[in-house]
Amino acid sequence: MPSPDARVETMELIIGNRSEELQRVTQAVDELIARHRLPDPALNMQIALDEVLSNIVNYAYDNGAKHQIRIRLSVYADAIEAEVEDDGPEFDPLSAAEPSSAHGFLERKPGGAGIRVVKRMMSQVAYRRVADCNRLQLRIRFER
Amino acid sequence: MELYESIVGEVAVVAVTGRIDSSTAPQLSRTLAQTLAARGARLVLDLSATQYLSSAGLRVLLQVAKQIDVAKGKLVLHGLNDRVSEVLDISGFLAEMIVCTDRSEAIAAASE
Repeated sequence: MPSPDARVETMELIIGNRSEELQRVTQAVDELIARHRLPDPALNMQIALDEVLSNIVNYAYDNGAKHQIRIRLSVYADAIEAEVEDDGPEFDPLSAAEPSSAHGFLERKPGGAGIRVVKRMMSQVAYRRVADCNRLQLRIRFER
Repeated sequence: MELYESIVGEVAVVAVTGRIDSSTAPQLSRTLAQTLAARGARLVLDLSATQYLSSAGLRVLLQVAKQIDVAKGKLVLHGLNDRVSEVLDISGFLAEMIVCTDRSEAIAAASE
């Protein structure tokens, strides 16, 4: 019997820092889910990646220059994992302040709740600054 | 994502199929803004065929909720699957929204 830690497939994508590129990641995750018949919770990876990648594309860079974002998707017997690496300024989304609920709902600023959604929907999240890059790991564990 | 609009009395019902994410949210935002301008601010969002919603979708919801509040209209959500419901719950939106399981109940709530 294979160990549950055994990696079944790894796929790596490099996208530019433009919103239109995000669909390539969505497609790749769809393909992995279909190819390995991953159970329902795996789809939450789409929600997390949309949040994380749109934040990078929209906020990480302020110089208008082209940057590359590297996404490594791994499927394990009992998990799907995404590792996202960007070369923007150091930013740990996991320790960023969550929106305060002191204001009324309609006075809220848009955004802010996204990272809380990511934290709650993932089995595991981790951030590291590695070689001048931000590296975020997202993992969803599931039962077969 | 596909959007289907229908009108029931004074209420506009917009059904969203597929995914609401950062790729599709702009289209949803434009369509709902047009609907509100053309039909007034009584809106049922039928999410029964929505697969998931990311925070880009939450932004659209917040923006629409604000517009509807200003226009003294009513926003009602209908047909949330577990995944959509979970995202709305975690983000604190669920408690602020009127949610109906039944379509006719949703239309009635938006008409009030």
